Amino acid sequence: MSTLQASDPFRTLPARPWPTFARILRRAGAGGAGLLLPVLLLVVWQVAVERHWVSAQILPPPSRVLETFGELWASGDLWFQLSISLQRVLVGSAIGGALGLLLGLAMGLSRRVEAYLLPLFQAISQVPVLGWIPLLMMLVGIDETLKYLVIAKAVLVPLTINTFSGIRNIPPSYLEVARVYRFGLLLRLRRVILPAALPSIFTGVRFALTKGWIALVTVELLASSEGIGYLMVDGRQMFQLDLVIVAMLVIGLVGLVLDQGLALIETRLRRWQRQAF
Amino acid sequence: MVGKACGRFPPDATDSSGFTVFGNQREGCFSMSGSGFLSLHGVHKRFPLKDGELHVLEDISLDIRQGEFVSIVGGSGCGKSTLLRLLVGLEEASGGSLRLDGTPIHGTDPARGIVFQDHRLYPWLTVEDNVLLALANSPLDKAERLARVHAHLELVGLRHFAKAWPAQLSGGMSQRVAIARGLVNRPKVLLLDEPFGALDALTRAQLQDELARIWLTEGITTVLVTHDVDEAVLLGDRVVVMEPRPGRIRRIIPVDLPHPRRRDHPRLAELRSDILQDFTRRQAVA
Amino acid sequence: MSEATRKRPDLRGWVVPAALLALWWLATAQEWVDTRLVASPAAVLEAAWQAAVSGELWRGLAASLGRNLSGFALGSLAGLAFGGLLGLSRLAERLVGPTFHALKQIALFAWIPLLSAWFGFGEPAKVAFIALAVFYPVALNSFEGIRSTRRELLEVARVLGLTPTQRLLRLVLPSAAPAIFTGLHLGLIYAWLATLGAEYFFSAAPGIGNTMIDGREHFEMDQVIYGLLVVGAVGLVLNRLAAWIEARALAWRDGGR
Repeated sequence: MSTLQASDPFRTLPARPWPTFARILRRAGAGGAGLLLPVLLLVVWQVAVERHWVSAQILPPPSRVLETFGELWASGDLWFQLSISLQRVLVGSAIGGALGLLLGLAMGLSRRVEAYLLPLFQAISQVPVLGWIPLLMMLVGIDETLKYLVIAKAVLVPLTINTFSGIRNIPPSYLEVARVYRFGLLLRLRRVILPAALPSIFTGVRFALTKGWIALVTVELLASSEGIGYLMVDGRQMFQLDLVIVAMLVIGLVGLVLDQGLALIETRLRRWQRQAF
Repeated sequence: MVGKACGRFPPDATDSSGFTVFGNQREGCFSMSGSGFLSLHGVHKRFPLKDGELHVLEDISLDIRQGEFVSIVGGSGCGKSTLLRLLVGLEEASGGSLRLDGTPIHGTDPARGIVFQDHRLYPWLTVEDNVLLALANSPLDKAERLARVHAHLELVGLRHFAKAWPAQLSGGMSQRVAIARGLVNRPKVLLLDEPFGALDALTRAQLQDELARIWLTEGITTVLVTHDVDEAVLLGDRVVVMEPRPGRIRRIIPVDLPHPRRRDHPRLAELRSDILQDFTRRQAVA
Repeated sequence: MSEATRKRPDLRGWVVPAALLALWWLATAQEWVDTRLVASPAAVLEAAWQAAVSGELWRGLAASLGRNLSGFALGSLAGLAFGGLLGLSRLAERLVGPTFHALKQIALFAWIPLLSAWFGFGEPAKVAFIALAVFYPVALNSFEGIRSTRRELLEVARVLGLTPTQRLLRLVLPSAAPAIFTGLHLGLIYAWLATLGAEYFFSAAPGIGNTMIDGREHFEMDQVIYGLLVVGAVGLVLNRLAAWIEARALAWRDGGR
């Protein structure tokens, strides 16, 4: 049933899952085709700068970027800035995560809480983090508190939504079983609601951390004197684009590691689930 | 050539349905000048596996006369659906020859229409546009196309649903539209791949009667693949029983009853238990 | 949004916002806070009214929406073309896909310093940034949508003898339409976010984001808050508009109801 004629232009169109980092690597390793373009681009880029087709100011050559990365790494500066950023994300995410989880649980478990809070929550989440920043700056200044709050807001929204919908989407039949056996609230939470909503909540965590990281970069660009985002601002101000590119790469890499790390844990969790039932 | 092919294969004497085939051709029905004579000779189909090959069909030889209704039954894995996919041209045979009116079958062609088990209507097109799509490359002008689409919707009893979306139709109605789409090109052969397999029993019975009626009016060569023995004997002039691993023809049973048939005819029951016994016996041996 | 809240107008949702508003009003009226720093609700209304009457609000809004839409148009066209190419051609996907997915990892705002170095701080840089924000979701969803064309429906196209153009127009594009609309919808949301960002980070020019940044610099909270409200309202309107267009265009999904 599965083979089609080879001459067909739209022959192979199966729905494909999200390309994970591992798959990108595998594909690149297998075919080499995926690596072709970046390598070609880098070579052209390097040559273009060396031949002075474009100014190294506008487009620092890959060799320079690599050099800068090495220097920053060796001096410990990169790690220092990164650790500050990571610590901000950690604190902000902890605050926003805890609040989001609680809010999502409360709204998911109680129709009444939902009726009182959901509209306000939706209105607040409607305005992007960026919109809140000027107001927050006026209220709390531009210190660490601002960063924590911005990250917390970015983390809170997806986690609340996923927790809430995770609980709301539990098949009624599961809850009916709990009713038949007259489980109390605690037992119902532990045995039915949390396990059933866990996959959705975890997806929320993953999504939320990515959002938190993006929010951190934004707020550091806007108001900070340390951190990976500040490194970029600094590089830009001194027109050291190699520094900017290094920071971009690090930001991308950290985002990737966060996302893929959590994805890995997520699949682990799901596998455990399958085995358990 | 085509005419000769028909001449060489006059209706089987035991087949009382032959008269309907010639008696009910509507004018213009076979504007393609062919007649719909299918000839399979020594057909093989193998799929490559990681280690070796999977023999799906082995040495299938079968002639299907113009206007004949042939049912193909068999358990899962006997290759009956693959056989149909070869006939429609979605797959190519690994060996042997398939011919329609003497011309080898390669690729799909408007001369061979098919109805799949899942209706496969395009959900973004209305009923009318779904059927019209089959005429997208026909030489007819717009008015003629529409007229023909409406005639075929009328044929399947869905004249009033021309503007409906597939999402608004029941499973049985969707399958009727699929039948209209399969016929609107006036193909020489209509292929049906378990067309009623996903329907409930009542709807299925109703659509079987409809199919019998449509076949009688259109007089088109029809090949029905099914796993429902009742359906096979009710509708077929002949029933081809297949067996799996590798898929081949076990035997061919003529159904010597005139159309339209009554479901409760004792002869049908006899044939059915004959075929079913065949299955159970084979399973006992295996 | 649950069934219950949608069916009947539920006033309970207004309780908390009303209470917060009352608290805010009380806090400023009773001078529990420094009113030179924290604006009262009345002051916010007043500022909004002044801006609306003087036309400053509309000029800012028009400027913001203008760059929002040009960025959106640019980014979504590029995204559609790119996603379409990747979806239709395996070769293109193999060649460009990994690079695309890798670059996607870089947070949007991290592009700002580089963009400013290349395009300066003026309008071109802002529009380029908005376009970039729109490009990713549109490209990604177009790609996914085209790739998820059902094989069964493709077989029908083959049986009916449709030409490649007909396949594209009658099968691939309509079947990808829901995903493409999702991408455009996301793109619209991102575009508005990026418009704000562009006005914060690039040079000052009329715009609603600029109004807020300005308000902060001069410590005029009334201006910041009304800016915030306008930003939220525009976001909401854009969102609703996108949902409405999507529902009309994809009426076939739920049978045209």
